Amino acid sequence: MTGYIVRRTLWIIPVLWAIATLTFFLMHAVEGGPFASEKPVPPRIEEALNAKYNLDKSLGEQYVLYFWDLLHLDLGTSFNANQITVRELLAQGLPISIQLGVVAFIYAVVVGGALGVIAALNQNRAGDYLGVFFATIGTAMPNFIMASFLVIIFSVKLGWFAVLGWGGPEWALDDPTTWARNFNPFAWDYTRVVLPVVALGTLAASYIARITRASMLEVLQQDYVRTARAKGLQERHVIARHTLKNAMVPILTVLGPIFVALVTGSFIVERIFAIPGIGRHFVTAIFTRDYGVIMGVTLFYALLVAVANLLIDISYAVVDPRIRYH
Amino acid sequence: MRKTKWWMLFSILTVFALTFAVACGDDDDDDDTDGGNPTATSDDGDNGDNGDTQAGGEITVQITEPEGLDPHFSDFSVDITVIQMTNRGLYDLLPGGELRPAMADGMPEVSDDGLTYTVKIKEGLQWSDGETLDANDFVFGIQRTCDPTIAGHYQYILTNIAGCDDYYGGEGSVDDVGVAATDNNTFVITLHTAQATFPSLLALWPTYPAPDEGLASVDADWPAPPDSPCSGPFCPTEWVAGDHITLVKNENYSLGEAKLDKITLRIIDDLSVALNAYDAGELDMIRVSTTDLPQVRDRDDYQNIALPITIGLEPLMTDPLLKDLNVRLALSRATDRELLNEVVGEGANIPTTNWVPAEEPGANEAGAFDDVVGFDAEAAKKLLADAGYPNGEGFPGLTMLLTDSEGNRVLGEFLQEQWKQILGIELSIDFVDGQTRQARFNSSDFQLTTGGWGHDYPDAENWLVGLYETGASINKQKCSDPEIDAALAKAKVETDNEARWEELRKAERRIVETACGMMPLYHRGNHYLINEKLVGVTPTLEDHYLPQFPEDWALAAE
Amino acid sequence: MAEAIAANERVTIADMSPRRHRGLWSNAFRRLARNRLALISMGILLAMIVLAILGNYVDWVQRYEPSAQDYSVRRAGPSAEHWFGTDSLGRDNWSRVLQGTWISLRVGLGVQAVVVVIGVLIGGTAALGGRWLDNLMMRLTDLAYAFPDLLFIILLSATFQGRQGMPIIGDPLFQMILAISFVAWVTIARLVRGQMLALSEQDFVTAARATGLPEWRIVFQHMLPNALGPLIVAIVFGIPLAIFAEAVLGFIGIGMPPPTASLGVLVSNGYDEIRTNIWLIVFPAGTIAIMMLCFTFLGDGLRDALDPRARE
Repeated sequence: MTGYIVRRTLWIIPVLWAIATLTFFLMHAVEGGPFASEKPVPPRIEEALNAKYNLDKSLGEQYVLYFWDLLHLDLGTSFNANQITVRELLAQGLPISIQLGVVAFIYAVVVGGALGVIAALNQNRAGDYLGVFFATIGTAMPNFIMASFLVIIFSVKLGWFAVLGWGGPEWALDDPTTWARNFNPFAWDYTRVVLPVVALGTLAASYIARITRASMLEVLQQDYVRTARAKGLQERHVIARHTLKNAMVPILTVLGPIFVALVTGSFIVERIFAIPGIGRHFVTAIFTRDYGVIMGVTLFYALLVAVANLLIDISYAVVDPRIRYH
Repeated sequence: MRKTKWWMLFSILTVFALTFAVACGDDDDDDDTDGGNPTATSDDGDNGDNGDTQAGGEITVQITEPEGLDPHFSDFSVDITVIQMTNRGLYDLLPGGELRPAMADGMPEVSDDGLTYTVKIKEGLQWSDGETLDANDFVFGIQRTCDPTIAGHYQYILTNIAGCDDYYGGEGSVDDVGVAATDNNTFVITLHTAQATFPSLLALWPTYPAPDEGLASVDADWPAPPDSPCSGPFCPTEWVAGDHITLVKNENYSLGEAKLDKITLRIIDDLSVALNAYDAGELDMIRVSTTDLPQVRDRDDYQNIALPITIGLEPLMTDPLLKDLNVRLALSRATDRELLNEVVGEGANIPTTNWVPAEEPGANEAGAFDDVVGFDAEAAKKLLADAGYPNGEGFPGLTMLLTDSEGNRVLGEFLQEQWKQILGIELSIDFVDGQTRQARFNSSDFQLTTGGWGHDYPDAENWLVGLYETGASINKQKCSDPEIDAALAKAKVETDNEARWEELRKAERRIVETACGMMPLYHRGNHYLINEKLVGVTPTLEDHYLPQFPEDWALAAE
Repeated sequence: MAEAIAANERVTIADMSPRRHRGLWSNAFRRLARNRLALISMGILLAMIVLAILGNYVDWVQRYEPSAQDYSVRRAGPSAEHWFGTDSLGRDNWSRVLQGTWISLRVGLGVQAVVVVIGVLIGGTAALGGRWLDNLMMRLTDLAYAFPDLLFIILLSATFQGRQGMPIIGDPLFQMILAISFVAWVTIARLVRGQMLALSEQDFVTAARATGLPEWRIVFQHMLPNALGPLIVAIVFGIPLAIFAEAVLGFIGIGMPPPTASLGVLVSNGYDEIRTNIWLIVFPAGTIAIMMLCFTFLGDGLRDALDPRARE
């Protein structure tokens, strides 16, 4: 087991390198450079600008230079936004994207799980239809459509929530003393939390609801549940003791990938709510050929995905015996 | 054992989530709902300090992300918008082209040969940090624009200053740039040739001051907020990328005091998002996209500020197909500009065939070229037949390069349909993002594209010189015509305005009537929603993202 | 989301044992036929496909040319003349939604076609090519799996843009399919590998080997048909994800070039006018919703039907 984990951890390095390499050449293959400008700039000046950012060198040299800087943990500068460093940009945007993703994940697990359980226990009754209805809406609506409708109904028409920005407390990844703020429920501005979270998390919630319902239904038909019921155990007891935890396995296996998808997939929600998260920076950077930002965000996301996948696979290895004997 | 662990994990998650849910239920949002109740606007408008406005106050305004705040580098209208809030120059350019002294003390003294300008600046000017702002700072500012390391994108506007081009081109030295302070409040600018429009340039950001003591050297980077040198009514204290820029009142502003305490520039790229936020009361001023116009144009808080910006079709003159004058004229005459304005522009622009807007000094009168290039389906068909493609038969493919935006998509589809109906030709569209479009345009790698111009200063010269001479640096459509060249060469050195404008009119007529790289379609309007509580916002004629002179903005008294 | 759902299919499908290869299909059909939701979904999907094809090639279904503009009926709501209303250029929304549906369906199916080819090749090679190849292929899969997928699709689409007219990759529809496929093949590859590894241990495969059949015939005659069930389920779940990805690309502005209207482009147009003319977003978004739902329900039904563990 330890050997497996060590090998897999070391493997992350070449994976990151390969992804960075591919991204590097792909983004340079996108037509047009960062300094295209409508006003006349003499060729000499354009050369000077390109030289300042090494863009005058051959792609191969730029590649080597980039990785050399990367080894020194230098991610370069953004061409936009007053040329702040990519590191600063990540430091500003990541805490927000992570908060958004984590809260949406919790929402998806709680709401999706609860609805799934309710639906399964009330099979073909009102509770079931409620769960199915929710799962249907969630599955069918791309999040940008849902987000727009949510904003128009709940912010513009009803005035319950704010339209702009994210209401999480400020914190910094590299400063553990700030982490605790996230757990202070009074530090959050919920008028700027609810809508983005619902928009981002509902597809995942509906998916979890479907899996939970199916899994619960299967377990409820198992012999040991029938036995427990036959023994005259209270229904509440049966469900809590015997059903829920056995139904949990298939649900747990999807939570990892859902977490990754929520944390990395927030760029549309970030755009519709004008949240300065990292996903929005990435999309903007592609359109403005902001090479440093594209690389920085890709690398960080790839690292996140790789670590998450590692944890998922380790957890599979842990859960594996149960799956087999199940 | 293991089962218990999973169970615990789930319980913890549930408890955590419940905490959230409960706290959420307790939360009352105390958002002030000021967006909903319209207050009467004071109609006396201007910046008089009457009892109608309250002292201080904060507003939030929508903007898109600037690239930087360096006045001597920027050419991007969003940058310039912010720069003009945080910095100020010698003169203010008022709508209509009048110059109002700002930091200058009166108008410049011009030598008889028109080559030497002596500018006096006001006494006691200060930077926001309390440092003295003197003539040396203005000299330093102009030197920065000419500096090759700064690589100012608007340097070309100072090309007439002696030595500026040489220094910028890496051949001269900063000491040869024709600008020098004679004492703390006076400096002298030397020109290559007399230029009647030169005073207007002293109102533009490339001539704004730079702190010669605050910056290490002439080619030092312009510091980012909160350290940005600030000489305007508001100073940038914070810039969070993708989120906002905070501007607070400059207590040391030398030319009076701003009425508002704080302006937050909220960075929102998507105008429909901005509209939602405005209607929810979170913003006080936004730009409105054309697609949102139908639903806002009847509202009292809607303002359309028509700008001297012309948008048109730009054919590449060296293209085998488009170098035929008949083909170009056929395309121009097959385009119904009234209909285009109604359908694509939601009626909010001004259809035109003029390149230089008629109200600019030295422009031709409105409609002067309608007979030659204006909409006429029959004439268009005949022109295309003359070119050898009757009813579009045998017409080779025509591709238009367009920047991807909702407005352009509709524009492109409109032209596709109209040219198909009238001329029987197929137009294909190459839809690319802004950077790709710019790169292709700059390397003249296109057949047909859309483009336009908004003036830097109000004079026909700014619309023609440097844009349409053979080999001019922005002349990517490769318009090359001896008549145009001759007229513009004369206009450049002529100091008598009437004679100069006559040449410019001649050049414009030739450009438009031969569709030499330009077929004008419309003058663009800028659409705003402005909270009716916010007064003192005057229209600006510049191509800026927001109206100018934020020091005059104020909140109406409750 | 794509990854989340895909990964789950990976787990649950990999659990399916391919033991009961005989009678599997007839049993499956029986089970599927009893699943009303899946059957209805399949019916709706077939109807949509037929309608979309007719709506692109038969005039009386299409009613209007999708790009024909009529400025006298701009931004109209649904009416007898224009069933789905019109857009800001007076184009008929019904014909445009039909056009978009057909494009989105082709994107969805095209992506799955590409993905299956790549996935089967890589997964099969990994399972049958020996230890070294297996390692290589699986590391490749890990790699593709670590891409933040939607972001990578965006980057790829940006790379493709403006390259119309170039051979092969010049076709916008193909570009779209390629960009989405690039991150979507991992699921299938992992699935195929798992299936193949399990199958190669099975008695009938060992028996076939003993008879001296060449390896490729064993793969095609004996193993692939038995791996088909889970593969079909994965494909059906993959289609709505591709349609969804296309809509996202349209929304951020790198969709199909005009005047072609994919559902993504239509939804994006509708989003811009959501407060002026709500019909413009309701119909294409509704179409996407119906397709996503039907494919999901059908996928659920197929999984239940093809899953031998499902007991009555």
